[in-house]
Amino acid sequence: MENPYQTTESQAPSGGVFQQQQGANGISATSIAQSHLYSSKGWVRFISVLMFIYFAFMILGLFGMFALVSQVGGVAILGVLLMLVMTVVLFMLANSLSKYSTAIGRTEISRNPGDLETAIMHQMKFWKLCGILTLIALVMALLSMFVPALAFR
Amino acid sequence: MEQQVNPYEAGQAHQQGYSDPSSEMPVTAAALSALIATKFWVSLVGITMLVIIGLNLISMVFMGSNMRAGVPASMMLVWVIPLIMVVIQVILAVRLIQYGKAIGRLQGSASNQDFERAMEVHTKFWKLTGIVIIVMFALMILTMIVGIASA
Repeated sequence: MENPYQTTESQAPSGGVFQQQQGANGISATSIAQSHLYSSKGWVRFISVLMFIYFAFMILGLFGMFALVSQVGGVAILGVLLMLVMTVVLFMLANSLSKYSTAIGRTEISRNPGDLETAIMHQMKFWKLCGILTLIALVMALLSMFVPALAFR
Repeated sequence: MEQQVNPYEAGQAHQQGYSDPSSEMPVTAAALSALIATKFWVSLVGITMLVIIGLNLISMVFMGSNMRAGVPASMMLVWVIPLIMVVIQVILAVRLIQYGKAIGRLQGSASNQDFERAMEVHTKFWKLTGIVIIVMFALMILTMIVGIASA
């Protein structure tokens, strides 16, 4: 039997779409979960700022490497390329952490599920990048172990 | 036989014992799927960290066994700092694995408490990382001051 007093979608208050989504997965961020999230904002921002400072130092180092390449030539280009890749990756990590921190701040002010979603998306991007870098490092470590062993057989 | 529904029964939120439902914020389906996608990467990083720490420990043990007996006390300090670092790294790696497990539980249960737990563990990870960085900076500055003073 249908409930004649049930609120229809069009009558639902603002945030009705999110209420429906909550019904789909049944999860909501309680005040405790929110306070945990908000308390991480400062630490995440601090680490991202440090990463940006380190990025600036790496840019300076890159200029030094460019000067070295102009003097030494050929072989040093590989070093410059490696450092360039590392600098770009560091910037991407710092940027995603910074965006995560900003999104947490926005969530704290607006209490909007959309901002919480953005925050979780940014932290996912950060960890995905960390994971991909870990995989690359693992593959390179394995190669550095096995390639010389195969070469000396 | 058709199951009868009790219209006066407390809702899910009530059963879970929330004191202030008005302060709750819905976790959207997209946010949940992003969190679930984080699980694999976080677990991968955490487990890799543990493996690297294990390899470092093995190399430290080998180095220790190669050193002759009767090492001066000042040399013991050389071991203390890396050991403290190893302990901190283990805690960080465990926190990451715990975060992955909390997300896994959340995926299975869809419970607000598991979301709370995931947020709690993640926050603890960042807090510890931040504190470790501050301590390391303080130690670096202290070492520089001691070095300049003794020169």
